[in-house]
Amino acid sequence: MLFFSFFKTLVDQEVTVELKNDISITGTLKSVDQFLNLKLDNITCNNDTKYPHLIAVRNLFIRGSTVRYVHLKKESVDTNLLQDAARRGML
Amino acid sequence: MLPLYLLTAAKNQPMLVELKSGETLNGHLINCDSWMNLTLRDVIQSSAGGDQFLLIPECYVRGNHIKYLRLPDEIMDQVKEANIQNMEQRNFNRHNQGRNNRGNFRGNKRYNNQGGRNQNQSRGQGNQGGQGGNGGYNRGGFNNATQ
Amino acid sequence: MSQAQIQQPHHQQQPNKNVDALSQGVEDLYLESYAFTTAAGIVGSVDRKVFVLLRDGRNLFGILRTFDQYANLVLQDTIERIYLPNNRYAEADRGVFLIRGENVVMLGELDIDKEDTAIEEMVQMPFNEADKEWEALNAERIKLETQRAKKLLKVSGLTSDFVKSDLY
Repeated sequence: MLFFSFFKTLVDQEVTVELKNDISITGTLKSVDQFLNLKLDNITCNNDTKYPHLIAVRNLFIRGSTVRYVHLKKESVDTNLLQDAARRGML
Repeated sequence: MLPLYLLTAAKNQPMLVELKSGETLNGHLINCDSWMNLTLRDVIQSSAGGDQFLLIPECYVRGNHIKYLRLPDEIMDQVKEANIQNMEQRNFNRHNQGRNNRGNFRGNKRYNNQGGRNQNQSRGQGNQGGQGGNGGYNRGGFNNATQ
Repeated sequence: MSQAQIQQPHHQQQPNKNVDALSQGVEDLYLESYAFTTAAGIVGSVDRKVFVLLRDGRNLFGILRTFDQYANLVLQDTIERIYLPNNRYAEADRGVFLIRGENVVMLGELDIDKEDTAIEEMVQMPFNEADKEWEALNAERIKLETQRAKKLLKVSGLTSDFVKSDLY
């Protein structure tokens, strides 16, 4: 639940999603769900050869289980808030 | 019209089932359930490499082993027809019972999908998606309450 | 304090907006009442040309007709496409697909104006040939990864999360 709520606060921010196959996709986060599936708009991909058709893709739904990292801007994150929420969750 | 609804409508039709292992099963659908478990008849099972073949009169496939299904092209038209007939029947019934007619569903893409978390399996209800789950979000705070 | 805001769905449709307005309306409806669900992420793509990347590495292109909460998808007029090194590709018509949600890696909406720019510069080859080569490449990759996993374990005591079925 915590990271679901966390991602909800990141909507409309630019993020870079690194998948488990080492491909990275940058885009604007539009939606997230309880499984941390992500919906990105305006995407660009770091690898042009693996999925050439991505050049024609406007928005992307990415299954959460395939994500390795979501790279964020430091300013998007309030670590103190996150820490508090995590501690509250432990109770 | 949900995917599993389409599958149920495909009973007695030929189809290709590819399993996660890469094996393919070509046969006619006898029955299916909400977990995508299937029973097929007159099945040709092919190994992943396409080198071995087996003829099986009847087989059961556990839903969680399925990668995808390929259905005959005609299935889409057949289901749309059936859908239209059902909707007409339902509208007719509703009208007769003097309730508010929800309007013409025919060709209205808006009501073709039922999203939302809590899907009710009775698909005849138009666009009732059940509860919306976590509608808003907490600005300035993270809600870590367990549901 | 994070400043993220949910975009307010706009209900006023400009008169000169084209047919997209209807599906935009559906998407807004879902984002409003079912915001942040799997459905909200997919509903906008219904009846549009999409591409789906499967866990086994297959690229499918088709019209998304329906989906459910598990992200099970139904694609119509689907084409399977294989890309090979040295600018080659192959396609095969596949018809109607019902894809089990757990096998999907990505689902992307295609811009029909741009969708062919990728293959314009590429050389098409017969599908069966391409399929054989693709499977050979996959087998090679599996071998490499399992050897690497063995080495990692033996030398550094590290485990590998490579699975034979995830070739995307």
